[in-house]
Amino acid sequence: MAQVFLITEHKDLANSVERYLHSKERIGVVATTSPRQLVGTGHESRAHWVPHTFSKLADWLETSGEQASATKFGLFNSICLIEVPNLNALGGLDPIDRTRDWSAVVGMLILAFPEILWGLITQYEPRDEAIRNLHFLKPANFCERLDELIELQKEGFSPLFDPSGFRNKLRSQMAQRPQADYLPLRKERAVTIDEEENYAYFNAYVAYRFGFRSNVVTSYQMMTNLLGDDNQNPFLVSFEDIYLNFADRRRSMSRLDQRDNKCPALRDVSNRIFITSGHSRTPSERDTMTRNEAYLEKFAKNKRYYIKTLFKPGSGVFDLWKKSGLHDRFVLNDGRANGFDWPPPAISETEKTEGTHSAPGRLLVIAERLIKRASQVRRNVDSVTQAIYGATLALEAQEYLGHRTPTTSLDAIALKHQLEVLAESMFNGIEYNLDTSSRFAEIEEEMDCVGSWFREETREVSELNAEIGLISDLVLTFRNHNQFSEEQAGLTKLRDLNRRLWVRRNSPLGWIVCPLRYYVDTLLASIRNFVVAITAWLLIFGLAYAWSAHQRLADGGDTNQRSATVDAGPSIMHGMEDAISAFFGMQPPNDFGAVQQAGEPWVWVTLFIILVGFIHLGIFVSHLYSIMSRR
Amino acid sequence: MRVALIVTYRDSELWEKAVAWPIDKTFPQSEVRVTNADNDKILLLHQADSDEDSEDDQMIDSRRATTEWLIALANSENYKAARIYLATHAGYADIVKVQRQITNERFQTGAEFNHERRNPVFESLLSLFESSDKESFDGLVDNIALQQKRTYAQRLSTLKHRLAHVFLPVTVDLHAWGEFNYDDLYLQEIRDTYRFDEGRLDRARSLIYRESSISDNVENIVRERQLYADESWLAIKDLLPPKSREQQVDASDDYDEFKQARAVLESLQDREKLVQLRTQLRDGNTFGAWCKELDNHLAELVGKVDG
Repeated sequence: MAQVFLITEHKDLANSVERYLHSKERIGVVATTSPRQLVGTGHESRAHWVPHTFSKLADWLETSGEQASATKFGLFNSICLIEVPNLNALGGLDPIDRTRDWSAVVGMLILAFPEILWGLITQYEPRDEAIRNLHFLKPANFCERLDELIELQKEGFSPLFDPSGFRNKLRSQMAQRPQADYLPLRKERAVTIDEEENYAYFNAYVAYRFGFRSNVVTSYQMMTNLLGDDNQNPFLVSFEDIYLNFADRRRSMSRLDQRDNKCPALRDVSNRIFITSGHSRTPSERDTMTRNEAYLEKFAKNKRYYIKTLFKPGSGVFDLWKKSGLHDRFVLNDGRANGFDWPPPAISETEKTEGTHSAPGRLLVIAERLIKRASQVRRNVDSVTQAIYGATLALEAQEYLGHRTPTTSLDAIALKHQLEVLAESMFNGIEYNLDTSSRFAEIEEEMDCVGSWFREETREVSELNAEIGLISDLVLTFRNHNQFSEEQAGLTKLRDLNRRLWVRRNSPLGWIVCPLRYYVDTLLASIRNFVVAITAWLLIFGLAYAWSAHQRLADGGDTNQRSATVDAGPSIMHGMEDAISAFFGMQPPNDFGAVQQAGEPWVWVTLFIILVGFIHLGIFVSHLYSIMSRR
Repeated sequence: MRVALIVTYRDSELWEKAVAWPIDKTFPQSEVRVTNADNDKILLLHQADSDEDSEDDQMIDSRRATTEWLIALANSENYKAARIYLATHAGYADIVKVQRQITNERFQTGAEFNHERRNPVFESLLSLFESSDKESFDGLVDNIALQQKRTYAQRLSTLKHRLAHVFLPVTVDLHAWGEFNYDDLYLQEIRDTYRFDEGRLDRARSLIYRESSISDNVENIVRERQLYADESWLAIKDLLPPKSREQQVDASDDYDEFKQARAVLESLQDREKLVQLRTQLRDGNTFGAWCKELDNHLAELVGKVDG
């Protein structure tokens, strides 16, 4: 059930709002009074008061959200009204500005609770229209604005992906300071339209992850309100379902020409990705499809537009971005939105001596809050949307830390990947096979960034340890959701990492054993590798036998033995027979006497073949068994 | 002569930069570092220490002592003819008290700053400490004046917010009642809520007038900015007259808006009056209009103080 939280100095205001919303919409209102500010504005006291007050209010929000909804998801898409009497500029909400007190607390809350639609009750009005309309309530227009927020909540509005750019604005304030200049900014916007909430949130998350602020549209009302006006800042990317069937629909939106007439803002979207099940059973559906194709053809001719149609089931986070072609469209920024600079560059040795050592303390406090809630979500998640919610919290935490506080950053990264994988694995609407190689590559890149903040002497070992821990958790997640191929890919990656760690710890002996371990790990990576390796060994040994025993006899060996081998057929074929016999039979070939006569080393070669055969077959059978039993 | 009084804290960047400045031996209460900027003087001192136990008490005690030093310094023999400009680290001194107690209205302007690079007062202080010339001194004075204007506007804006909040619950309840077509059920809820509600107008007055206030109020700012004759201030006084003029208001044929708003507030406590109010509200929400007008005039005043 929708919730409204109220943090105010005035108890009677809380009572009035509670009475109103409960009578009108049966919406629960939970209120608390804002803590009294200290007398005076001492530097030292403020430094203590701000994070302390933030923690108290954050605790209250979390507890109230949980009690009101009886779940861990009570804050998701809720509204919180908060009084900020002395705000006179958006910069006043800068959480790391040590000259601010209450407004800095409010800034911290806004960043720490991205799932809440924040409404600031204040005299100040920012110039940015989107931020002003969505987040600022003057006492003079309080009732009207409150009604609008409640209406938005009913339409399914989600602040999670920062659609208004409020959090982005706060980030840009902080990023002006050298200690927080790593914070990534999302200047571009995306919109995802689907009546199925899972698709809408999943696609919006993918866009957000790659640098776009995203609007999630799951109702007709919200779609026409948001996109019915083409004078707003254009969206750069859209993910749209073609056959929209909103619960509150008043007219069909499946014909794209009609959709664009009703929602003209869509015409300005330069990258439109359509995701459809490809309905074409009835004449009406076929007609719609033909008309849509003809309509989109016009856009395709214009180089300003990029149109792509993907078919459901969709694909995982990385697949979706690549298959939609958006990775290539933004390849100049490494597949991310323009202006979204992420990951932050690894710190250089020079910078280390200049004092920018870790994320600002208040951002760390915010990140820890986000991580705590993401972790709770992971333990209680039972839907794709919830997993996406948790992943977003972890992603936000990761970005606020900029990898500068390594251990906490690792927690955030691990949670982000786990929750993304959970969302992918739980989602029946996406393909079974996921792109693990891109995920592992990203993890490796992230570990490199985090590692640059570790001590140089232990950096590589720390990075490997962290990566092993992270991928081990992912393997468990894959296993729990029967993502077999992904689990195998994870195990292969783990073996690779463990070998590298082992070599690093056991140098120089490790360098000697490393090739052997590398060989075994390569064998285990796939059945194909096994088959290729066994075939290669057989060829080598077959050729060796053919060359050795037969060659020696031809050069003047015992004629009786020679006739025996010649009778067995052409020498190469015979050599192969002997190799196969020794390799698979794990015993000397039938004509071992001839081999013995070729010299003592060939006896050892035979024993070596038996050993190699034993090892390969042993590993192969056990590996095959594990695959068969799991599949 | 102009004198810039600067209050910082020990070990601050400013304090360290002034380490070579001579010390004013005529002022034994505290270490005051002095230097010339052309014909003007810069006096730097740090915040007073305190022996109080709790952090809050320390802060109050230290602020009080620092304020006393500033007053004593500005009125001392050496500077008794100087025009005084004050820049103090946020919260370290009471600027209003200093302003009031400096003799012969020599106090020109004063503002708080923080030791952060983006703060214009701090930036101009750094520049002044580097070059100690007239141009830098003028820059500092300009920035203090600018900051002081902002301080007035901020104080007034906060008062405006608090004033609006006094009436906001009533506004919300009347709006809600309207949403339910002024039904009896909500009428009862309103009556139950406001049955013992008294003093709302007095709370509002305490934010506007000195006579009923023990803390900051609009009239203080009007006085400091010499805006007594301003039409927005006069309009505010008409919309919500001070308590001392209430009898005069009652006897007068003017002040209609105030009287209607007062009547609405009184109606909330009585069922019969609420029934009458329902009819009145259906024709138009005079209370809402009164609140908005009061808010608009205060907004105008903020603009004037800012300008």
